[in-house]
Amino acid sequence: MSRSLKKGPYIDEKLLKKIEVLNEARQKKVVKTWARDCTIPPEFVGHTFTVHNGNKFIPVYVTENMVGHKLGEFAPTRTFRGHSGVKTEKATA
Amino acid sequence: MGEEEQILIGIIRRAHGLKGEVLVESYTFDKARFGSLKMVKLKFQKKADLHYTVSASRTVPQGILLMFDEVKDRTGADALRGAEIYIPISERMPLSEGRAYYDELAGMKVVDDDSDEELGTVKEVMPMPAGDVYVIRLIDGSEKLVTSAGEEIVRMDKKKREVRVRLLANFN
Repeated sequence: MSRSLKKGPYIDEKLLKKIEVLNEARQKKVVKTWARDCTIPPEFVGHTFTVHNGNKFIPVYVTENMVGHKLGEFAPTRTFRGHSGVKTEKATA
Repeated sequence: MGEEEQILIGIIRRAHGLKGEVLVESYTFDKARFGSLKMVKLKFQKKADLHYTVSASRTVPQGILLMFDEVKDRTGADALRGAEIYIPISERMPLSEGRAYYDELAGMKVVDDDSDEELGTVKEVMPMPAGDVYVIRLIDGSEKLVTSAGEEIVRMDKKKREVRVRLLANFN
């Protein structure tokens, strides 16, 4: 069942406050967070977060098309690391 | 004379249809590259490697469908399930400027763009939903993860084998 529209999206207050401080000061800093369930509001766009995946803090740079998603969607907890030692044809974007 | 180094470009997941087509999970950045394949080497778990000639390929939402000259029916295609598809490294697709294969990045020097100070080396690159993440082994032995999607990675120079970065401070 989806979240009630009456409540609005869940946004971690402490995290939002940190981003508002950075936006006011026009600064870019990496914000560490465990709030995987926090919905991404438009204020987060252009900031880099490190989101905990249970093991490490995965860096996530927030872009416009991520708004409305949860931070945790971009820091997978289970990662298939491929065939170790085998070279593939996968390349950077 | 040693055999040329091989690279993995896909894995055969299952047979498709009755005419000997197989469904392949791609391990390449460009699925269209399967259209230019001629000879490939298939590595099996329990039998010796074999060379197959690709006769046709097409892209479907689930992956790539390949046909081989040597496989004429579904029974033959079923026998290829799980096989890994390799090609010689010399047949790797050329990349545009500013792009690199993941294995080329491993071992590159990481240099601060402002101070020219060496910070460490790239240990590996992890593909993530929001872009590639570089695992940097710093000189003090610790690891730092940096996303390629943000502003921290300035540029990568394949000739000098270095990645220039401008790391952001942490919010305290």
